[in-house]
Amino acid sequence: MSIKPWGSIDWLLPRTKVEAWHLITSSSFEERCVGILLCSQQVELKLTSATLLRLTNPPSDFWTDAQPAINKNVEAMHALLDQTPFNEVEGKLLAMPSSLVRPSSLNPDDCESVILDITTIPKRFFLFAMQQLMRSEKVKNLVITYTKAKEYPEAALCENALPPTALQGFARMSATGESPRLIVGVGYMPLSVEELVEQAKNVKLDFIFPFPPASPAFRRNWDLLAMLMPTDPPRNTDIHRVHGMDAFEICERIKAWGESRDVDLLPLGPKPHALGMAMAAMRLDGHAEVLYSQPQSYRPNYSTGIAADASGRPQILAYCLKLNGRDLF
Amino acid sequence: MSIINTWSTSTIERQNATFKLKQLYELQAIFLFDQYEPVLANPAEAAMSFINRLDRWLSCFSDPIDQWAVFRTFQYFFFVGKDETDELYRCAVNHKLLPWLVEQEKLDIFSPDLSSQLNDVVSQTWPCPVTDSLRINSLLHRTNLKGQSLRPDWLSLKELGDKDRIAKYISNRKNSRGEITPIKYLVLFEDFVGSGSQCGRAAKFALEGFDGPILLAPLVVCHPGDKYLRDLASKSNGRLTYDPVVVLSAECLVSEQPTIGEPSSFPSLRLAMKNGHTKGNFSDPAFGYEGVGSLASSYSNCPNNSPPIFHGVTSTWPYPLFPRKGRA
Amino acid sequence: MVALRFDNPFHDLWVTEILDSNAFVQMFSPLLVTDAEELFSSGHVVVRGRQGSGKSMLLNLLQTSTRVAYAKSKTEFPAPPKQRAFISAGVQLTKESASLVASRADELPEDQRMKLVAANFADYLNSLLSSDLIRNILFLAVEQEKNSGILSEVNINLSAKTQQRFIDLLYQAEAWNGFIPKELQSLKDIGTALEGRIRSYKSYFNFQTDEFPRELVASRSPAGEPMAELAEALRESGVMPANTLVLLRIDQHEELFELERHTNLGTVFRQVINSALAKRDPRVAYRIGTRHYAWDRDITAWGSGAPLEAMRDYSIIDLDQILKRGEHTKGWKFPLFAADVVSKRLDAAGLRFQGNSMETMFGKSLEPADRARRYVGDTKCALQFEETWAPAWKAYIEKLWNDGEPLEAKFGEVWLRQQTQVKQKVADDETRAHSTPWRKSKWWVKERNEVALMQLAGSRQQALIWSGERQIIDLAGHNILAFMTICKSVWATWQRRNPADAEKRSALPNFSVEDQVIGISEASQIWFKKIQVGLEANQRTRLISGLGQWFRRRMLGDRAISNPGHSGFSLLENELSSDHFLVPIIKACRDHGDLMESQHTTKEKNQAQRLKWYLHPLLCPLFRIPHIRTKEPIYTSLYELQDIYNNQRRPGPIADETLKAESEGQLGLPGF
Repeated sequence: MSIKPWGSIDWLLPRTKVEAWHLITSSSFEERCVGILLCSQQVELKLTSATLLRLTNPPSDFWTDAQPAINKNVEAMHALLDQTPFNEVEGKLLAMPSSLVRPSSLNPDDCESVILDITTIPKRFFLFAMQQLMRSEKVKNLVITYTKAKEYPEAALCENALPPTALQGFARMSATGESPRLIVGVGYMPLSVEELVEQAKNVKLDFIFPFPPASPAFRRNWDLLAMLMPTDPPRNTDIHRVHGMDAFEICERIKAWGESRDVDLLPLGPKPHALGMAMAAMRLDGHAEVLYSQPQSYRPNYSTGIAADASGRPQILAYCLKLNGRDLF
Repeated sequence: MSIINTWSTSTIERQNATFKLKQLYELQAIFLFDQYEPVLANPAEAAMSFINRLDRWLSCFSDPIDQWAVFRTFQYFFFVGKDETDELYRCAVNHKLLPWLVEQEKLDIFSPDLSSQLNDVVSQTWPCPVTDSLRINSLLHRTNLKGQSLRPDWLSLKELGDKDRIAKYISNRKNSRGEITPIKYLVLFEDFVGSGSQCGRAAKFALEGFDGPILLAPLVVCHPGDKYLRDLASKSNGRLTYDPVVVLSAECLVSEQPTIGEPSSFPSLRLAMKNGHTKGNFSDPAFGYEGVGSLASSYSNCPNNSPPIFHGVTSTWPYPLFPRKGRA
Repeated sequence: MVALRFDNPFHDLWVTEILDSNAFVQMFSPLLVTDAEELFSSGHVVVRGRQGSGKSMLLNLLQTSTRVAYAKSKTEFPAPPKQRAFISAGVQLTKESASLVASRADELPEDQRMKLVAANFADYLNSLLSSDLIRNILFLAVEQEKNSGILSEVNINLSAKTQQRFIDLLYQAEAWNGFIPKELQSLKDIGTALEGRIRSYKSYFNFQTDEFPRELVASRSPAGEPMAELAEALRESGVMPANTLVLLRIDQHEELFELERHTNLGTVFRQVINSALAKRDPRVAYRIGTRHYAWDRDITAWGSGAPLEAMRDYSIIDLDQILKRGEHTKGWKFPLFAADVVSKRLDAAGLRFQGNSMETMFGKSLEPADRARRYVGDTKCALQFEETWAPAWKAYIEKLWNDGEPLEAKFGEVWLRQQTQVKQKVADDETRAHSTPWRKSKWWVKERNEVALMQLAGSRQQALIWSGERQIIDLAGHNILAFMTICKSVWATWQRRNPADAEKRSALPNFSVEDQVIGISEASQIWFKKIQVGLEANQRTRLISGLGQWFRRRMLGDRAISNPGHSGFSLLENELSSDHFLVPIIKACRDHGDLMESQHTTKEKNQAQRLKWYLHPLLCPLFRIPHIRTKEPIYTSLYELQDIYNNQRRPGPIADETLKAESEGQLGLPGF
């Protein structure tokens, strides 16, 4: 019996026995981007420095509407950072991650202990950043944090997704020759993946369904599955239910599946699932590929509020990927 | 498939909405509803496609408006299939039980000895079900959790159990080397909690019959039950920890009075339920046992907290959607 | 019941698209090849077609594994006998992550960026294609060893002597100097070395290493050269016969557009490929697969500035053109192709039949008058009359309706509203209320059948009826995937409604009209759904939804049916060169097959060039508009279309909130 090193932030962080951290986070129109900084006020989370990632989206109505919220949040973050020294990294949403999120810009002082808060950092960027930080020998302790939203509106959350391509840093290095198995992490939006899924069903198609939690996520995930499911799913299409926040379990399962066959990973679901997929890809010797279709615009009320636990505190999850120089997955 | 087909060719909006919902339900049928055991037990019923059974169930309602209302709101119905149950088992053990034990024993989760330490603690833990509907053997097998030799359900223990004998079992427990190592921790699992009264009775008895810390980790809990059990735990002086795996949101419950923020189709569902209840002449109340109104079922059985229009059978209501296996 | 689902012979629509070679042989229709024989000839060929047009099927035919499958199953390979001496290698641009090569572009000095990215891409492509060619040779050799006599036109000789000769020749070739390490001994070794080169690229671009491998820089060649020299060495050494054609497939060419758009490197990737084609090297021939119509733009070869000249440098196999219906129905290929596909499917499912299987299953399409009767059923005459019309006219029209000719009655009502009749005050003149004067011109009725029927059905909120072999073929819009989607949906509907018959599986089913109406309605929904989860989903969905509803509104509201052709729209051709945001959306819809584009000979005096568009026929059932095109489409402008586009709500999932818009007469977004 064992447990993986993740859970609520106030449960996990003290157990690492790390005294102080460098925090990498991002500003956003989503309220929950301030979650980790709010937390740093309340819990034993001492920050030595911080890096604030500020991304600009391509022009759109949504982006214009989002400006007031963005400005408000940036102000709040600056205020919360207070005396903590921080640097800002600015860039465009559609930029290549490698041009923005290298350790040199994210961790300029080569701090040993780093928290990467992925709450509002787009998947393309945080997965690449995670990989870079894991590979960096200077970083001895790495924790990923994620603040849950209170709710998501019943509407399309984002638009104009680019065609799916391999994520930078996560392309397949060598193929075994057999067609890869496509594993789709289910979420709320289809994101231009129709053809990919239609073609993959000739091989082996799997879906990862974030469960728990139950409704409304449950209902909305089934909605998406009904949209995505090819009109005739192959007999061996499986839908695997995995807890929506359990990155480590995703990692374990995909590693197991990937042993016997190349896998293509499509993280349309919750960020912890995307994290788990990337973690597994890193351990599959170049036989796995993580694909993604980057949306070009996001609804300003992509999420509202911050989820609170029973005692009213923000629900922030933390995943410890590296401790004292030892990889934990 | 007469009713649903009629909608497929009526107004454009109705046609489109019907298509989307039908596509959704057919998909869910393949991966969820077709697992429903009481239907599988009846070959003639099992041979019908789910969508045809759904259509037949709709015909029980007299008013087409009611038929559309229930068809449309069926998307809010929460069905716990086998795979959901397996994952709930895993979460109950890995996310609730083990962290709780770590906390109790103050273990270091980063220690290289964690695994053997946990195994030791687990060997002194007693996993039990609250009622016999939680399949404790399945839970243990699927999660590789070692149980004790006896796995009584505590609701039955409450009626038939002898506190002295229970105490003796607890204190006489032997480990694999034959040494006496009493049971330190009791963990109670339950599959579905509605109002919480049943679960509460078992938990209260456990507090009397067991001295040590108790974890109550039900898999799926409705709002009323969640409130009740949380309350119970807070009054136990820290002896009872209540940590459910899933608490159903308000959209999986249809209450007698409208609530703020409920789906906008619920008023028409409520009306359909009342009409259906009248037509079916059910002995159970319109909103289910103790008025919980859960829109939920598991693959093994539909709970009686769910409204009887879903599971009841009467002379005027011949076709249930999820026929229920009841207790005498 | 789950088991029935797999008894549908049209289950698994894509089996012919990619993978199972044996299934491919069984299902592939050689009819597709008869108009596409340049595929096997020695020039460059661009194969152009939408998703579901058969493009990938055709390119698959070139694959060695497919040819071997044909040989093993003793089925005649569809190429002309004299053109079977070829071997093919290929690359699919998304799979090989062409985007990778652009990924570290920002680390290069800005003034050299384009040049270096182009050089990297060319070299990467060279490595991929050379590697695949060798892989195919080795594969064929193994197969020929196991089964002597297969693909005898391309007999592979891997004797020690021949391989040595090959290696000697290869090392002398300029492009191979440094491309592979020295002193390799066999083809297999060379293949492995090439894979190592590819891996070096991937390693760098995947951030496994931070240093660009220097050995790659020194040994890069322009696009196409290594493959040409490889082909030559293979022939000259005798590894393969001297007359073997080498065909290099590059599929999903349209991916390069997207890539270029987002990496801001101009048209660098396309130009690399064009430069390979422009060499007109007789040693190799390229097969480019693309979805785009835009092949003709930006074909400046890299470095030389000379454009590719059509027909001299490449020929085009345009599947949509081949399968489209021409001016005359005779000689239209698509119905034959579709019928062949159906036969093969039924055969594979073990169903025996005589004669025309399509007609047996779908029957004959209903005559307009019959459809009208179905729409109105037993209802009383619901047509609207003007107050001023003579009672004799109203009585006559009503009598027509009550005598079982509701369509005639409808024509009567419409005819009276027409300009000519209004001017002549025909409706006031009761002496003329007899003997169907609207039938004097046979064209008048013919042009208005569909809209009249649509209005009859619309007044009763009914779905339109499509049934019968002819209409099924029409609805497919010469797209085989659409066609099979319809067959599959109708079959599945029939199964659900007739479970007992479906179990028996003895003879071919006879689909009732209801089976077909419901099945087609579902197929239409499925076809629309593809837009919503596909590329550029939001824009395409909004435009198509807007157009569909617009056409419907106009046709329903056209009480005199003066414009029976308003199920399509037309724009001035020069509007398409403007910067207007709708232009790329219209083109995207066209490229994906949501809209069917054609030249429009304008009726206007100015003779300005116009283009016209109609929805894909399979989208028409969803919007309840006729698919038949007649007379003039709506003459419109981008300005007017913009209004229609902007008025579309953004689509969302099926949550309760969006279902609120359901009320009679309110035309909400389909499905949302």
